[in-house]
Amino acid sequence: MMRALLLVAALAGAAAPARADAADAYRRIVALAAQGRLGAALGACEAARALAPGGVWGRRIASACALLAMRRARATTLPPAADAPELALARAWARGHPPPAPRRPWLFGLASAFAPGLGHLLLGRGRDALVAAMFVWPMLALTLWAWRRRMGPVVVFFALITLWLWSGVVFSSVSLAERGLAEDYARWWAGLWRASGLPGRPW
Amino acid sequence: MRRAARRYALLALGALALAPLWARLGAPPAAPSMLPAAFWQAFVGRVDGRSCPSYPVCSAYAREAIRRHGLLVGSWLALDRLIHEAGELADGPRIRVDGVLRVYDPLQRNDFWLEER
Repeated sequence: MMRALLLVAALAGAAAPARADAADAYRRIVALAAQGRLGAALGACEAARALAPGGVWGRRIASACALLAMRRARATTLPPAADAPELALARAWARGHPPPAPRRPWLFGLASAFAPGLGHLLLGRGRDALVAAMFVWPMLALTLWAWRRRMGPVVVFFALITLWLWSGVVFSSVSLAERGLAEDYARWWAGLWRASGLPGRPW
Repeated sequence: MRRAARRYALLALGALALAPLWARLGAPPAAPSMLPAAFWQAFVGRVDGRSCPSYPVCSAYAREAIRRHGLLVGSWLALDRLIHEAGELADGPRIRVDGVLRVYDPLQRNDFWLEER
């Protein structure tokens, strides 16, 4: 009896550190991803996989790493892994929640190049469109007014300011389109992670 | 000729007087592109008060953007901040700074796509 108890205690002592190490490795991966260091998190995945090739934490690490790799590539299709229930749950969620529709940010820039403020308006940002238009249109009118009066260097000065403002408005609409895409994807991916039932919040 | 020399001497004295002011702005002399934002922070911002509702404030954001991306792209990023600030006031992410709720809009939120390319 005493021997059996000692054996159980020894086995528990041997198994617990391995489980703790795998759980720690998982938490480290999630913490790195939460800091926005996806490259480092995926690097930690390699070491963690070797540490825990099987078991609950091994499966969680594999699933988390698959989802993080997906996030880094901004992929919308889950990797095939039939034996991981976490990924199966995420796949079931994704069937009912389609990923955000892809948009081309440069199209919004083109719209703003055509008419300052139009790109922001197409993005659904009415207030921003108003501000962008207020930056460019009055300055453009001032430049044309100076040009009609043949004001020489003043025209060049106004034209340069207008050009800078106009190009800035084009840049802004591309930037906001890129940011909108990234934030939409991040929201969708967060839903995927929650549905998988994996512990932690890597965002 | 004598008049030109007098003007030159006046300019030189003016530059000498401006040197401590320049040092006070905290802008390195090798980076004149940082001067507008530094000038704003040192003079206009102090008179105007904290009118920027975002965190970090617009001048700090502009300085960081110009430092990281150069004058042209940095100034575009600063302009983009001024454009989208109005829209963010309604539904942007918030952060409490010194007891005041402000729109949390760090540079990384807007320039990540430039870093990815």
